[in-house]
Amino acid sequence: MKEVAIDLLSALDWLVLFYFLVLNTSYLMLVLAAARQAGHSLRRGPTSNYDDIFANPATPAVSVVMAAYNEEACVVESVRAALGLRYPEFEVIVVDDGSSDRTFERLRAEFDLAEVAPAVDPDVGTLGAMRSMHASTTDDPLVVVRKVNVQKRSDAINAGLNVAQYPLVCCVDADSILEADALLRVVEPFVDDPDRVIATGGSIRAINGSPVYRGQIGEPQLPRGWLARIQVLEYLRSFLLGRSGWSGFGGLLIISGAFGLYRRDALIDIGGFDTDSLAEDADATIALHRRAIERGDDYRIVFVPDSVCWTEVPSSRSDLARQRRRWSHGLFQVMSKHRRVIGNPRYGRVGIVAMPYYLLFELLGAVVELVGVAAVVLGLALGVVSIDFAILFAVVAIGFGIAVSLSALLVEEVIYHKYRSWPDLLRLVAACLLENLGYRQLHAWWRLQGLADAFGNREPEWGEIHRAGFAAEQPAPQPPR
Amino acid sequence: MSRILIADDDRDICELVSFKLAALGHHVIVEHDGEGALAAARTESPDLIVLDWMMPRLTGLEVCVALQADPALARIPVILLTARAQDADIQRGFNAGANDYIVKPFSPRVLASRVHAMLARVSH
Amino acid sequence: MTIRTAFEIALLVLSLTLPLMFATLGFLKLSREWRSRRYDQLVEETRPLVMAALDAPTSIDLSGRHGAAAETIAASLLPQLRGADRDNLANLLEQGGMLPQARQGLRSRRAARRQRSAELLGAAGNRRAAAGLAKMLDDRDGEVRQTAARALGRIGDPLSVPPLLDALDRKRVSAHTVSMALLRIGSAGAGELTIALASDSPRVRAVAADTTGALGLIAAVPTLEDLLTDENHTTRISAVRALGRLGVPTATPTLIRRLQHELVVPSLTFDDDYARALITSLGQIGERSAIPVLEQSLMRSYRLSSAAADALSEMGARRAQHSNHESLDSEDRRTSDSVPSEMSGETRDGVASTVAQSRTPQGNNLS
Repeated sequence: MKEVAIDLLSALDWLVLFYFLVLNTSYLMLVLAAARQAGHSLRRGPTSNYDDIFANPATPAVSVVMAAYNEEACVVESVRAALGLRYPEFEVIVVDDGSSDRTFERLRAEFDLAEVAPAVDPDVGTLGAMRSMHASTTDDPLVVVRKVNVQKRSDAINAGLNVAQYPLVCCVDADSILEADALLRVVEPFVDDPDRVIATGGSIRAINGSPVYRGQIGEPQLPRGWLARIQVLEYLRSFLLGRSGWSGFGGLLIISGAFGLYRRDALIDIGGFDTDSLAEDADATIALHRRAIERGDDYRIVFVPDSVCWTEVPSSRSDLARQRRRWSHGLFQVMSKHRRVIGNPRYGRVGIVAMPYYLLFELLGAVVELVGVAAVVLGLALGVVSIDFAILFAVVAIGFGIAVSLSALLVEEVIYHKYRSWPDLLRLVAACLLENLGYRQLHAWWRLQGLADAFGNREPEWGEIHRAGFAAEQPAPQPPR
Repeated sequence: MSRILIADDDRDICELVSFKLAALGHHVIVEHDGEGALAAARTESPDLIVLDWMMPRLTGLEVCVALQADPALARIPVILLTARAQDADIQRGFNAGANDYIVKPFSPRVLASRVHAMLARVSH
Repeated sequence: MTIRTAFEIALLVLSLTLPLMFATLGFLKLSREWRSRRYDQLVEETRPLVMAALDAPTSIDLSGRHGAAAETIAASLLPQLRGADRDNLANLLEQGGMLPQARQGLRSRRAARRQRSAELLGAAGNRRAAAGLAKMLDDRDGEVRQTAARALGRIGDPLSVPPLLDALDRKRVSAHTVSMALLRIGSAGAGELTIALASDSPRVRAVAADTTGALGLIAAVPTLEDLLTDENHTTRISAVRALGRLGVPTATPTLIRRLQHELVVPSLTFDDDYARALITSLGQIGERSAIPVLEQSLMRSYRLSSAAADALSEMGARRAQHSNHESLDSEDRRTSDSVPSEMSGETRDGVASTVAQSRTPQGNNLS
């Protein structure tokens, strides 16, 4: 009996080791691929393309759609940021999704809104009816739509989609602060390759703790809490470098709901955003891949790392846990809905590489990580595994994770260099360590809970997200460059 | 010898314009953002202001509007110097109270001539 | 190999790599700060030299350390300047050897160098480089091709127009980039553009139409009217938009006919974008004869009727500016001001309410 247990555990150990090796190596490869692309663009030097895109009368106009539910703390700043975008022609559409707080009042006061008659052709069905539509009477190209809340962000975005009048639609969150030239940068693939590009996404960074003044971010600061700091690192590795790497490979599966630019006709074709999905951004991106592949189009979905959106990340453990559970649950829904793509050679790299990867490593990763820990613990308990082996196992697993995080930090330091101060760099190094010494394990647990929710078909908790609002700018002079 | 305020977040442009104007004998005050420009307009009593549009903190347009709203500052002539070249932008600029609107790319010599002409007109 | 040995090897590798990574991080940051301080200092020293060169380019010596900094400063200033100062700055780069080097760099084997060279030459407006850049429109690297096209636009030589259009036809460069380059070259390229309106390539026809409208080349109006029935959708729309921008009244009858035709076709072949473009252009031209067909458009879908309402209100606003106001009730005045007085009373009320319904509330159309 003991032999069987030993053999089983041994096999399990090898499996888990193999899994960790592949997982961390894949992260490393993605980081290196992203670094290579970024280095390549650095070597080419500054480009005048953005000036041209700004000056060219043929540059496509963009409708920026922002869904807002109880965002009174940051909605005015976010809308200011959007209106201040450096872009030749665009409109900003805010969808007030039945907010119970003063979101609408603050917008009305700040932008002198006047009611207009809400006559639209609904290209996409919405569940919550539109109650009224308002437009700014100042110079700003702002429209605010008020609708009935049905507890689904997708529905709000779809309502905005119906009102949007331009060929490109940029979906952002109400706590997204876009950098001034973010739209110019994220539109670049569309103007350079208009026949093929159907969607682009920009990079997302954590704004917690950085000063924001009249919709523009000042000198980026690292957030105060360690949870937020760890997320900064996480976003760097997964959402910046990871997605950059995948995009180059042709397998970008998720364009974040916080900042994505799409062709309006393509979005309408897929029926807008799925109101049944918790991960509607991933679902939309995959649906766009499928539509293009099934139509036989030569297409591209591109990630633009230099186009930056700053967003507030959860700073409390409970908010973060809820968010990650939801994401995990949503990912399961998405994988299930699009299961026909997984492993299917008809869908090229998306089907053969990207989807299986997400299934095995992003979705089921939590399971494997915890199985690994359990195997070691069990082995210890059964006396099969010696304590120094257990320690060895832990050290190697954690060490490899730290190496990957550090490599992401190295790329950030060399190429993007958003955080300037020495203390912030040291804190980020500390975050590399902390991420692997507790955060990953906690995260795996939350993801497991999300999976359990998915199997049990439980309704996810959204909870009231505690918004800190954006840190007020100190009236200090700009630091010298 | 007049006092001229130039505000642009591009330091090279500021250097260039202030160099040109200083060479012609004017005293030049340089700012790099909208708030600084407005503050300088209040404390330095310039005779003329050259403003970029897209600046951090306050845009050039917002500075124009603020200047118009303040009776002590409303008479200072303002030249907008910006890359925003669409008709609608030019209209907005003048509506906000600018006295002249120069589109980039621009000729520094011509800018200097316009500055002189405006100063001459105002002093009568 | 036992599993334990595998882990031990991994531990060894990690204990070497991790400290190395920490050290590299610190070193990179230090070196960045040092280089940046030195660079800032250099730029401060070099700026006055560059400024002085604006008046007397040959008096400055740009060898050594100052050279690279001067090149950067000049490259960032040049695209924002015009006239004699710009030429002097470009001369500075020529004398300093940077532009000849860049022309050489166009033939480099490394794409990054080719691209940087093209950017600099474009920023400097260096005509001597135009021929080399035209060849670069066929480069094997996509970004390099786009940079070459942009540079040709900034140089502004009308001889570049045929190679640009050719590159457009063969899909070597995007329409967006080529149209911007053509705009920068401007009316000097008018001859070539008019020829291009009759090109075999629909892509070229569309871009030529756009550019013709943007440049105000009124002589092209008859050809543009022909393009209204072009087989290619994008070309048709570009032609309509161009006619609107040119604002020539003689085009109005043709536009009206096209819109009438579009309004009666079966819904499957109905081209929404085309109809809206026609409506907008008729509004921009502003001839009264267009009013009946615009009134017809008000009865259609939201997008068409709102475009028609905008067009009518734009026409009315212009009329109101030029003519004396007839005495009207003060309530009527606000909406009636934006409605042409030729319209019948009923339709007027209809338009007034549609205008009130359009998403831009009154007061947004600043005169």
